[in-house]
Amino acid sequence: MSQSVGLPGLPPIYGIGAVLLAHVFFNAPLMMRVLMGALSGIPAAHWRQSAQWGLTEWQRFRLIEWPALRQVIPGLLALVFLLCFTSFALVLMLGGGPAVTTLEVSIYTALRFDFDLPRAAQLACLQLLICALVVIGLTAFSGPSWAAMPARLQRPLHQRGEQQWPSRLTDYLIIAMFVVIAVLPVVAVIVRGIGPHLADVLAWPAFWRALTASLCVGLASGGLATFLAFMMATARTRRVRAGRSVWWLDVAVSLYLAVSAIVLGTGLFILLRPVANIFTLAPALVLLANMLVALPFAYRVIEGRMAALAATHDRLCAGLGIRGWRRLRWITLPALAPELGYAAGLSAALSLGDMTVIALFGSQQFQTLPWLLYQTMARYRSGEAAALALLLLCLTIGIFLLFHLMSRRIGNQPHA
Amino acid sequence: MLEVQNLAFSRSGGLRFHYDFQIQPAEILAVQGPSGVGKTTLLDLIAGFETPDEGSISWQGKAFHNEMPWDRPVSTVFQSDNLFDHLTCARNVSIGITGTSVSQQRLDAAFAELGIDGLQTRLPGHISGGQQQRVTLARALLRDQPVLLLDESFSALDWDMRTGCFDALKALCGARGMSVLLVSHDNRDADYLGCKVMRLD
Repeated sequence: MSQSVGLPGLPPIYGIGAVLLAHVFFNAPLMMRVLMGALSGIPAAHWRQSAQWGLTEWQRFRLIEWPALRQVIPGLLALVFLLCFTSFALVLMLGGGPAVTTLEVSIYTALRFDFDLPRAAQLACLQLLICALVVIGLTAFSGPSWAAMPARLQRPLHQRGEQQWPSRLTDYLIIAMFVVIAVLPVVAVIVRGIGPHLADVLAWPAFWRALTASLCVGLASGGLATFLAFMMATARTRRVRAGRSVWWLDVAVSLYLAVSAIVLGTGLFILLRPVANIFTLAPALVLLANMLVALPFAYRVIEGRMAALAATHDRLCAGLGIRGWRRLRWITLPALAPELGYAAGLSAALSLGDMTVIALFGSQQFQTLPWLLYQTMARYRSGEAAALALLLLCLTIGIFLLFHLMSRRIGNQPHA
Repeated sequence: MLEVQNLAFSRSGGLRFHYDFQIQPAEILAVQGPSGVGKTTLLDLIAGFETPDEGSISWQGKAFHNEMPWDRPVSTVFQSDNLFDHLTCARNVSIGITGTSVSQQRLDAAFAELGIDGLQTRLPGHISGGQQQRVTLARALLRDQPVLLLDESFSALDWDMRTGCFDALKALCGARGMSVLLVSHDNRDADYLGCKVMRLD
């Protein structure tokens, strides 16, 4: 990356520093999105009142912004902890050897290289236990909604000339820093990816096989995760409507976030190995594991909006006799389309970029793009690897945007 | 005639409501009283959103208090959220008519009758609050149910818009022989409609 931005002379980025830096790059956009969601949930009247009372920037932060942020920060920190704790691909690629390893990578090594199933199972249990403790602690501390994804953002409220230049400058600097953190790795991939190796990679038969496999796994697991999340959210809404308890479902979904892809993969590996050839079943297993990993995220996106829609629509629909298929076709699906598209795009993108499950089940016969990229890097063919990374980036962003924009379009058009 | 006989309902916490009254066809009854006396609860019981502890509700002698909300001879207009944001006004009206399809001619006639002709293809978010409530009244008109429940349906509108809606309501009630129960906080509403008032305490 240093070469891409014209900073020669920096040492090769491997080891603990690289792993830490990469995780900062990786999690900053997620944190920003969740914090933005919390800020945009502040009622417009609070901003207007603060302007009328002439509050300073600091007072406004302390009285209005901080209370909103404080509610999501503990949960967000825990979510980022879980994501980092269960991180696999970044550690595998940037760790640089056995000196920098994590539980995730140790499970992978025990399973794939040492073929030590009992040790892999023990490490998986340890990992699950630690993650579950974090989730349980947080659920008890801040309620089952701590891992909720941000809801649909409200329309911004524009105000006249309140901001002083020091705060404007600070904002610019913070935004510039975020852009550097979030955009620089992407720019590096693009700059290094565009080159003579791009054409070489496009001529590889292995690339097209991996692309086909990635698309099949990504689209199928994204679609299935969204469908299952929708069914679960529907079941939850029905229970709420009938006055039955749902706290156990909320806690179960939160707890499921503690189950990382490698733990799931290890479970499937141990379960199926005595009865079937794991590598023959690889496509189905990768699809299943990716779908299960994406499920809690998809559920969080859909459930919140569906609960809000139920609160608005239930009585009206009951009074008008709009039930069953009619309600699903004309009311629920069109109103929920943006969230369904977002969940499907997110799940498909997560599956497309998955390196964990495929590392367990991948082979010469079944490769996805991330696995091909890793193998190309392992052979020190950095030019081809950069080109592959660019293609994977375009594919992931393209699929996410396709789902997201299509569903927004469906959701925004009038239904006559 | 809408008959509410000896109807009792208890809220958790021991609060108990009791109702007993009748409304003739083509009659409007305004329900008034301070907050918490059970005005909305009464509408919820008639519409089927709550289940009474005892008593009966009937239309023309036929009890319907055990029926599901969609099987009752009732249309309800809430204070807000009467329309689905993603459906056009015309679709919002026709989706409330079950069993038979609504011809475009009937739909247009209902919109014209309520003074909202031309709004059929618009989304609810793009019309005024008064127009939204008239679209809801158009739906009530086409649903052709004999009992109409209005839960502070026009309270959020300014007086001019409100009287416009009341004029449409009076015409509807008279022409169709509907029994209308109107929950309202404002004494002027009952005065303008010239209807009976039932005060809950």
